[in-house]
Amino acid sequence: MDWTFNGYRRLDGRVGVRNHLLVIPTSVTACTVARRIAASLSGAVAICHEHGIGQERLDAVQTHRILANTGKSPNVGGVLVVGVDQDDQIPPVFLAQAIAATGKPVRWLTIREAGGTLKAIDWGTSLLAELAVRAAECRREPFPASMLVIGSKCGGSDATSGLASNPGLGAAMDVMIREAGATVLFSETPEIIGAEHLVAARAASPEVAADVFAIAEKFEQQLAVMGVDMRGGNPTRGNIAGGLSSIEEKSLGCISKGGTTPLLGVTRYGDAVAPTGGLYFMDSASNDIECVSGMVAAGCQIVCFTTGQGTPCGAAGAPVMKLCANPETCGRMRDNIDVDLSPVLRGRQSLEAAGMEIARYILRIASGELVKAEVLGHTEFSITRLAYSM
Amino acid sequence: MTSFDGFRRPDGRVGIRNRLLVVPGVVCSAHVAVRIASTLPGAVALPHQHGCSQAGYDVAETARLLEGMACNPNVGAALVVSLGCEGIDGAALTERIAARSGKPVAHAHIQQMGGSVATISNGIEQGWELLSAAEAAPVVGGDLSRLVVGVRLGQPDDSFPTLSAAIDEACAAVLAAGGTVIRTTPGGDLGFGVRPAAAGEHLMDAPAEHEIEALTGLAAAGAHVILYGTGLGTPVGNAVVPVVKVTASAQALADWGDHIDVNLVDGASVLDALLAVARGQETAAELLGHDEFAIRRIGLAL
Amino acid sequence: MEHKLTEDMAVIVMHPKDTVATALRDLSLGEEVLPGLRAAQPIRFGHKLALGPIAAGDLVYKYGEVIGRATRAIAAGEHVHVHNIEGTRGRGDLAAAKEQGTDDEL
Repeated sequence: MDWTFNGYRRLDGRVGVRNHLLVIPTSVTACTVARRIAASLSGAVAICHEHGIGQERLDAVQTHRILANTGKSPNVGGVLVVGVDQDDQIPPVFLAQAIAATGKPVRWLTIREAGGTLKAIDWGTSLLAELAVRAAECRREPFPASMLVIGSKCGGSDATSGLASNPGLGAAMDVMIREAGATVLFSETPEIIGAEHLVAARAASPEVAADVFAIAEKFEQQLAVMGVDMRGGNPTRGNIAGGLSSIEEKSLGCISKGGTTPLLGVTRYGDAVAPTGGLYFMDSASNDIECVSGMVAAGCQIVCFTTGQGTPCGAAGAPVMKLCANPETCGRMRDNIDVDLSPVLRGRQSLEAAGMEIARYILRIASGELVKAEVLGHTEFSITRLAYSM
Repeated sequence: MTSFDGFRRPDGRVGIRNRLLVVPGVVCSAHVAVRIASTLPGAVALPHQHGCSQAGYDVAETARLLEGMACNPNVGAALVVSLGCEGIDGAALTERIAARSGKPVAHAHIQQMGGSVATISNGIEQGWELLSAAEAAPVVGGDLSRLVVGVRLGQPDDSFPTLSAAIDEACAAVLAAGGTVIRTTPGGDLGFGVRPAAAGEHLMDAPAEHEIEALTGLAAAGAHVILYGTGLGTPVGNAVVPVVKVTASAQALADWGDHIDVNLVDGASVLDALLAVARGQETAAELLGHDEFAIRRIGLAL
Repeated sequence: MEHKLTEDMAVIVMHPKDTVATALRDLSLGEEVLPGLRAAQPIRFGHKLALGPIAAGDLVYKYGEVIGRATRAIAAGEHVHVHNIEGTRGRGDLAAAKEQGTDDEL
C-alpha cells in the first residue's frame, strides 16, 4: 500500500489537500460584503459568522484565534480579511498579520476606507483576483500520508453509529496512525462525560489522563451552571428507544471513532495540532459545525464524519467525508453520503476491510477527489462562544 | 399625507413589505435554506449558527426568535427548513407560525425528503406556491397608527443631540397618531423579541453593543421599520425589516454616504423618510443587499 | 475491536469480553441468533440480548468495557436494557475500575 498523496506544500511546513481562497469577515457586520466578494470568484469561500461585535474580551480572543487558525489552515492558498473599520473588535490588520505569518498571500480591507459596501465589493474583488493568481502558483506534489491530520467526528447519530460506522471509522483511524503515520484528532467533550475514565485509561501518560478528567469536569461544571445535567439527561429518550441503556454505552459507541491507539494528548479547541503522528482529543462542544470548524482551525486537512440519521454539512476549509451504516439513510440521503458502511452492519464486511477502504479513500480525497459536501457547496462554519453578547 | 398602502395580514396587521422568508431550524439546514431563497424572487433566508446541541431553554429561545421573525408583518409567507435531528421541532415551529399569524407557511425536511438536492427542489416548488399565496394578500390603506417603529441608536458622539431630537420628533408623530415605538436598552421592560401588547412607547431589553442581535430583537417583536441613528456610520440592514439610517454627522456622511437614508445636515425629515419607506421606497441597506441576522444566545453549546 | 461476523448476522458482538450482543435487525421470539443462542423474547434493532446468564449485581460488558450492572438476574437471550441494568455512571466508580483491569483494546 502506497501511503502517499499529492498535496500543496505550504511555507510553514504543512501540506494542504485543497488550495482554497478564504474571505474572512472580522465581524457579522462585514459578512454581506465578504459573501459578495467571495461570490465573484468560483471556489472562493466566505466564512461568515455572528461574532465580532459586543463580545466579552475572552470570547473575542477566542473568535480571533479561530478565525486566524482557519486562515492559517494548510488547505488555504490565500486570504482576504474584510473588516468594517480598522478598530473593529477584531482588528482586520492583526488578523491579517497573524495569518500572513504562515507565508501565504494575505490582503485586508475595511468597508469604511473603501467608501461603503459597493466600493468594498469592488476593491475586494480585485484583491481576491490578485490572491487567486498567487495561490494558483502552488501545484500538487507527492507527500507521505504522515503529513495528514484527520478529524474524526460523529453527528446525527443513531443506533448504527455505535454499532458500525464509528467502529468502522475507528478501524480506519488505526490504519492511518499505524500504517501511514498520520495524526488523528477526535473530540466532543460532552460525549465522554460519564465515560471519561475509559478515555483516560487509554492515555499514554498520567498527565494526559489527568487532562481528560479535567476537561470532562470543566465541561460538566459549565453545563451545570446552565442547569443541564449531562449524566441525568443522557442517554436521551430517543437514545433509549433506540436501544442505548447507559451513558457509558453511548459514550463507548461515540469514542470508538477514534480507534484503539494510545491517546497522546488533549488539545484546546481550535489549537493547531502538528502532524507528528498518533491520536489526540480536542476539547470541544459536540455542536457539529462548531466542532468541525475547530478541527479545521486545528489544521485537520480532512474530517471524517459518521452519521446515522444523515446530515449534509460540510466545512468552509476542508472536505468532510460522510460515513453512514444505516441502510435506509444511505439510500434516502445518497446525495450527501460518501461511504456506505451498511455492509458492516449486515455482517458482510469486516471492520478491518472497512477501515482499509476508508483509509484508501482518505488518500484519494487528499489528492483532490471531491466529497459530496464539496460538490453540493456546503461550507458551514461557526465558532464556539465563551460568553453572551454585550 | 401620513398614509401608505400595505399588505393586510390574516391577523389584521398591515405589512409594508411582502417577503417570503425561508427559515432554517438549525445551522445544518441553513445552506439549503439559502439555496432555496436565492432562486425565488422576493425571498430572503435567515441563515444562523444555532439549533444544534443547545440546552433546553436556549433552544426554546432560538425557536422563539425564529418564530417572531416569521410572524413579522412584513413577511407574506414562510418556509421552515429542518434537518430532522435538531432541538427545534420544525413541524411544530411551522404550525405555531401558522396558528399565530395565519399566513401561508410550509415545511421542508432534509432527512425525510432525502438530502440537500431533493430538499432544495422541494423547497423551491413549495416556495413558488407560497409566493403566489403571498401575492394574494389584499392591499389596504394604512397610517401611522398601524406602524410599529423600532429605534436603535449607535455609539453617541457630538452629532447625537441633533440626531436624537430628529428621531424623537418623528417618534412623537407616530405616537400621537396612535402608533407604536420600541426603543432598545439593556434591561428594558419589554422582553427581547416580545411583541408589545399595546400601542405606545416601549423599552425593549437588548444588547448595547451587538447591533445585529438588537435589530433581530426588534424584528422579532414585529417592528415594520427601524430608525437607526448613527454618528459613526454603519452598513447594517435586516432581512425582514427596512433599516432607515439617520445621521447628523458629517463624518458618517463622508465615509458611509451610500448607506445613509436621512441626511439631517441637509435638513432631511425623518418622518418623510419613514413614510416613503412605508410606501415601498427601498432603504440604502435594502438596495445594497444588507440582510444581517444574528440570534441572541443565552446558553453555551453542548 | 473484534466483530464475530459471517454473512448476514442477526446480531453483533463488539468485543470478545462482551456479555451482550446487539440486534442488527428486529429479532423474533425464539429466533436462533448465534449457534446455541435463541432470543428469549422479541428484540428490536439496536437493542441488546444477553449472551449467557447474568446474575443480579454482575457487571455487563459491551465494547470490552463495563456499560452497567444488572439490577436483577437475566437469562441467556433475554432483552438487556434500562429495565434490568443500570449504568454505573462514570468516573470514580471503584468496583468498575477494579473489574476492568488494564484492557487497552476497545
